[in-house]
Amino acid sequence: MSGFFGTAQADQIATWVAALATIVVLGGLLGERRVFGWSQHLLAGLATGFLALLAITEVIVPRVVEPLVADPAGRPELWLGLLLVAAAAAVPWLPRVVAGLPLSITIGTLAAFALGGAVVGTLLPQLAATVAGREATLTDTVVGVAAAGVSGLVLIGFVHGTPRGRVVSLAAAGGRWLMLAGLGGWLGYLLFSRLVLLVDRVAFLVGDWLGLAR
Amino acid sequence: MSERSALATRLAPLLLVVALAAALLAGLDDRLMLESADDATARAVTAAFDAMPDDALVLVGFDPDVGTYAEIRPTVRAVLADLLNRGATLAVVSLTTDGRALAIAELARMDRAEANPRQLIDLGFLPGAEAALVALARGIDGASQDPIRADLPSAPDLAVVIGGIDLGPRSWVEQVQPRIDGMPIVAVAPTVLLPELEPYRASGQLAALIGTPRDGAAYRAHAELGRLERMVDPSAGPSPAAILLGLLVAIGVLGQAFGSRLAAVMRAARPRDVA
Amino acid sequence: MKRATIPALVVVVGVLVLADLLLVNDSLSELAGVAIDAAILVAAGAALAAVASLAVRRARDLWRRRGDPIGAALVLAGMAAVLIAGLRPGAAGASDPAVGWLVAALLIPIGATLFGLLFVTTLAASRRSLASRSREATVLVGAALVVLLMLLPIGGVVGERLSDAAGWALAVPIGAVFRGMLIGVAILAAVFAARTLLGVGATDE
Repeated sequence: MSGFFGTAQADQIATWVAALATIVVLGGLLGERRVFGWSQHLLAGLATGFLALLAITEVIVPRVVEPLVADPAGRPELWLGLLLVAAAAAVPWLPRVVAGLPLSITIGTLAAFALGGAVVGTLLPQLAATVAGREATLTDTVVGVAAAGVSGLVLIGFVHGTPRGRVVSLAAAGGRWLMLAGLGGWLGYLLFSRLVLLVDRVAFLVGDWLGLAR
Repeated sequence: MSERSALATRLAPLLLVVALAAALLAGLDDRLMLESADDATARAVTAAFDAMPDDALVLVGFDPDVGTYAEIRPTVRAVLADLLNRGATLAVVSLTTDGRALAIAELARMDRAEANPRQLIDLGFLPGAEAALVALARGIDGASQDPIRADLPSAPDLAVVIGGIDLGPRSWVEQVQPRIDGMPIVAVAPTVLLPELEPYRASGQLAALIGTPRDGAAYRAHAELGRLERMVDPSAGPSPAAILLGLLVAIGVLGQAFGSRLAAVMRAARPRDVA
Repeated sequence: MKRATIPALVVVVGVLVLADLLLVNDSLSELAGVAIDAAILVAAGAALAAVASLAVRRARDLWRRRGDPIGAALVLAGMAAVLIAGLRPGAAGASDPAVGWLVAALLIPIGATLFGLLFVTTLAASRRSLASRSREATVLVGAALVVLLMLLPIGGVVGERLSDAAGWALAVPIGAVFRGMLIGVAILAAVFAARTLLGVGATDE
């Protein structure tokens, strides 16, 4: 049912290993902590190993190492790139002055992306979308105005600091209650999402592994 | 808490798992309807695909996470099969570790299903999250000579973003869309991201959004996959019977606690009798 | 001088990238491209740093028999398995079938099942929050209950009504609330990012 396994022997073994791993993790529900903990350690090792593999084989080698090997003298900027990778990789052990370079690049670019993305990608388009326009029917217009009002109250409740004045305080309080209700709705979607995942794992055990449900 | 209730609390999750397994085996799925009656989402996705030119190049941002992929997996496979059936070339790129792992697995699966390899371009993995998105956008736009640009035969006509919690369609809207004019974004995302993405769909920044298994089921029911039906397992959608059972359990557990709380509030609000 | 260098670099890099978004200029674009490519290489290096750091820490734990030796050994074994599978002579890197086997047989099942467990733990936590008798928890869980009811996958007229209600609830009230939150988050993110770029409020160390 996951469709990741074929019919070859290696895939059959993989199905059994995956089933065992699934049962071990589900055992955490019954309070079995030790083996559950070991499975999490294994997950951490696999995930970080995979991350390192990707960084080496899909970024550093094709973008820096291979071009340098092909033309060592012709691409001086790649030597700088290689030094940068090395500096970033050794940040935990380098003096602060040296480690500062890759950190500065990261912080500077992240801040710029956050600012640009927030304003151009979200703030301006969403403000424009909040303004309720004339709709085809009166009901839709009323709903649009109400939705704009809700968005406004939530914004006041979210951004506002110390309450000033009765009206703003009331608006902020109203906005916070609306935000709570919205987050409650999100909690419902979260539970649904997690339930589907649990059902999928049970379906894997029952279908792919035991072959009972196909 | 008494020993018996402690044991019951401990065994309840196991009973839930057993009940879900029973629901899966009960064969009641035909009597329940997972797909939503309103197919507006499915129509929006189909319209976005219909608007593509012939032999379109579709950039697939494949970044689901292992924690939520199962929910969108059947829909993702149907979307990819639909695009291939329309003759599109898919250029698949991942910006997260989970996404790359799942992309490799799905590409291998499509290879086993004998998808036309000339229609699949594997752009690999780019680290850096937002930096990678911006580099990708600049490469597509021609603003830079990023190596990825060399692998693309032309500028993409559409972006399909398979989202997850780590990096979702929102990041694509914020970082890619302002830098590339006229490339619509269709998103497939897990339910948990739906409230966050709905404003982007409503504002038109997302051309279409499939965010629940119900919308996914509605899309799959309408999608014409032709001979590529073999790439999509018809039984691979989440079992409506098991989902119904799980939801009823959740509603029961929360409803009982909520009802007790409401009753306590009403009792406290009742005026006391004065003797 | 040393103290000023790093913040200055942050400002230069940040303003460069920001200007590239707002202005059309080939030279600016080239410089910004250098900064962005550098950020990608730094991310790759940082990934290696994270992995090396974890490996060193776990190896030390194992050597000194500190903490959980089996857990530490499993972390190292997992790392080694993937790296050997992907980097051995003749391997195809991350796309190698051996790596794919490890991912499909272990990484995906463990990760996915872990998140599946969250259904039970989140449900239990929501129920416990009601026991705290706070109004906020009551509103939160009440709204969650309404959404769960609307997501019931049943057919017929009732199912259609619930499905329509779910669509409306998402598009109007929930959508409106989250739009307000998105705008608020965008404002706060923009202010914080601008302060970082301008070096406002940075503490001297």
